[in-house]
Amino acid sequence: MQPALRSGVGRLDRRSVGAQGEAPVALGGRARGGEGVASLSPRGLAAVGSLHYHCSNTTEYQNDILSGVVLRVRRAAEGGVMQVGVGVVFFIFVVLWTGALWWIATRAALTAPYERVSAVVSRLRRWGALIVVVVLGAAFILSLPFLPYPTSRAARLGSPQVTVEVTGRMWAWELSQKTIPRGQTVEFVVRALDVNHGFGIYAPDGRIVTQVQAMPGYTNRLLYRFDEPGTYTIRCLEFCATGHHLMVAEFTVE
Amino acid sequence: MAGRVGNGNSARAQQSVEQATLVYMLVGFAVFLLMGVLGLLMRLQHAGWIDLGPRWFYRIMTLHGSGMVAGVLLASLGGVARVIAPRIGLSPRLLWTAFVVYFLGSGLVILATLVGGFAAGWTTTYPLPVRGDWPMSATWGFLLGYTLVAVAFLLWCLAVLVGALRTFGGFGNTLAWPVLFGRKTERPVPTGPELAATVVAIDGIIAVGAGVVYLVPIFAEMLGLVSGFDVLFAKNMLFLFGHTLVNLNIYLAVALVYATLGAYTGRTFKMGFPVALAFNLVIILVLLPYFHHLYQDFVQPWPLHLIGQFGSYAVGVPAFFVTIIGSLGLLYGSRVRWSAPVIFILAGLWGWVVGGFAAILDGTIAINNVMHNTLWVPAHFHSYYLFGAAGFTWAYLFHTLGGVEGWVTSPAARWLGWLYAIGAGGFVLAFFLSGLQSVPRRYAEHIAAWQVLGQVAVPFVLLLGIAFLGLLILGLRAVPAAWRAPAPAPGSND
Repeated sequence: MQPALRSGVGRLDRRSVGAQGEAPVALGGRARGGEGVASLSPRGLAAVGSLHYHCSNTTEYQNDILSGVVLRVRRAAEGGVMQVGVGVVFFIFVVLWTGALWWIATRAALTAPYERVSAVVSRLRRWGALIVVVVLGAAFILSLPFLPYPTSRAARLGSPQVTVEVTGRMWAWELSQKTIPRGQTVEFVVRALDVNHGFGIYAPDGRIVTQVQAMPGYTNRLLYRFDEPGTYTIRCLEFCATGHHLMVAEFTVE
Repeated sequence: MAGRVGNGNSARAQQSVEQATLVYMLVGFAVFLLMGVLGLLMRLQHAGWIDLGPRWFYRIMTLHGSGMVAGVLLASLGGVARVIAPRIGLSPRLLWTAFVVYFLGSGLVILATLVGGFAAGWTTTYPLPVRGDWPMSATWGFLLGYTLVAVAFLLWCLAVLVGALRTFGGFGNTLAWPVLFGRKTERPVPTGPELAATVVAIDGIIAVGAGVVYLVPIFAEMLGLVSGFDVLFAKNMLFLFGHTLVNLNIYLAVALVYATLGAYTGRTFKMGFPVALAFNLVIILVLLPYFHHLYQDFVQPWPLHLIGQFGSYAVGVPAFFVTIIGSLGLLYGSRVRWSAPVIFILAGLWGWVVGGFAAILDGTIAINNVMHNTLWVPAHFHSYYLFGAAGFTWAYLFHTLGGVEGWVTSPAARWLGWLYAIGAGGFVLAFFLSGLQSVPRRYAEHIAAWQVLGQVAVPFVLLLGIAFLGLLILGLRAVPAAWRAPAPAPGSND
């Protein structure tokens, strides 16, 4: 169970916080919830991505295969592999950068004419900057299909079939329903009554699958589809004072 | 002592500036150490080894964040003022005035958190400051404290900008456009540190303007003049102020790298086209990434989200290819005098780039959707701040106190420098792993599965503490001499 708040907290309505299980946290589990790979089927692909599996034309067929691969990558990235992918890329970068600095450091005590070093620095700046700009430009464009915003997700998941009203307040979440059908596109209509809160959804394996801010005076709409059954935990991800860490709720996907 | 140094201060005024700026750096360093102790308490709490209770945890968290930003910024402002004063001609009286205002503001922040119980986090996101479970007097104290700190920063920015315009004549020359466009000029062109300081001053004034727009309606609400204002607009102003301010700190620290590294490598960081281009780009680029704080505010118009992603990607490119590659070029084959400042700069280059890369990842909207407000975020800014902004500033402080031949080259100082690098590295890597584990940031209590990485981090924080304590003991002995003597010549600021 969530550790109890160990000192007095004024205005904390514990009944509204609800029971909270201690979710086992796995670092980089395989895709489970969300728009996971496991849920992909030709029928599902066709429904979501307007794919046609019965093509008479070879080119069309190849395009379909390509689209399918793109969709699989997209869904995998939006499932649990997002954190794993980020971790792998990050730590490879850290190792390479550490190695580069170590290499420079071990050669810092040697003698090399600065004119020669300057020439290398100039080339590095010219070509390195060009390469980095191209890589970042490509990353920017490639990231666009993964936008989490409602129109973008609706295009991938289809129109919402289930609507859940969510209200955040210090320090509790209220959901219009606590059971969500798996495999259907859900629209969370998220509001806040007092201050900013963060509506973060944690999968049963303990990783965040998606989130949106809950803001006073605004309504944020978050679309998602849960393909893995289980108990999902909502945690507040925007600091909201003394009971922030107790602002937890659960819902079940079945 | 009546002669003039360059176009700016007289020798006497310069000595007074050096004394004032030494106080800036030493007080900033002391604040940094005290705030570090608060950080250790927070990690001990995350490890499950102490129990502060949520009220005290969040007070400490608020003070740790605001104090670190204020302390490191104060030291950086002092260091840069010391470097640029000989030509730009900063007034010692103005520096002392700004220091007093800054000090009063910081005092109010400390009182508001530790005594008043204010605990809205250092970002104080509206409407939390006026809806929290603490007395309104604490909010008044905290926000007035912030206002005074911002006023002091504004004084510094205005003094630098006016001084630079007077010295170099017009915005074009002040921003090194003759170098950028290959034009001849009879006026002097700024050095790297002078250009960096001018860019910080320009963006600093913009950031403070946003801070005013953020704070005035809150004060109006507390006075009962208005019942509230738009939270999305408030968030935009808040992060335009806060993110930009924190981001600018690294450019101040970069100026200090320029002024330090050359002394130990015997090489010069020349003002040339790449430096001029990079800093002119930074003027605009540094204002864009703040939008990434609002990616999860889905009601924000989406083009602003994309501008945020563009800015998050682009802002690091000039800095990487000018300052970082340039610094490595200074080091390579230079027969460097290994010393605490050089080690701090090398470690700073590591942390700045690692933190920057982490920011690019988190600045990607799709990734941010699963990483926002996890411990990945403090991982990024601790790398950037502890290694970069603070690390570079302490390198210059140690250089100021030790000189090229002084205690900073002793085996003890070098060992302590490496100890700092290892401690800081382990500390931030534990944060990164926690971010990948989806551990939320700003939680007073961690469930058991999250505590392991907190426990891993604590020994590294202790290593950091030992390193800084040792360097403090070594450095303090050099303070009287540094107070009396003129500053060591910057090695590479032309």
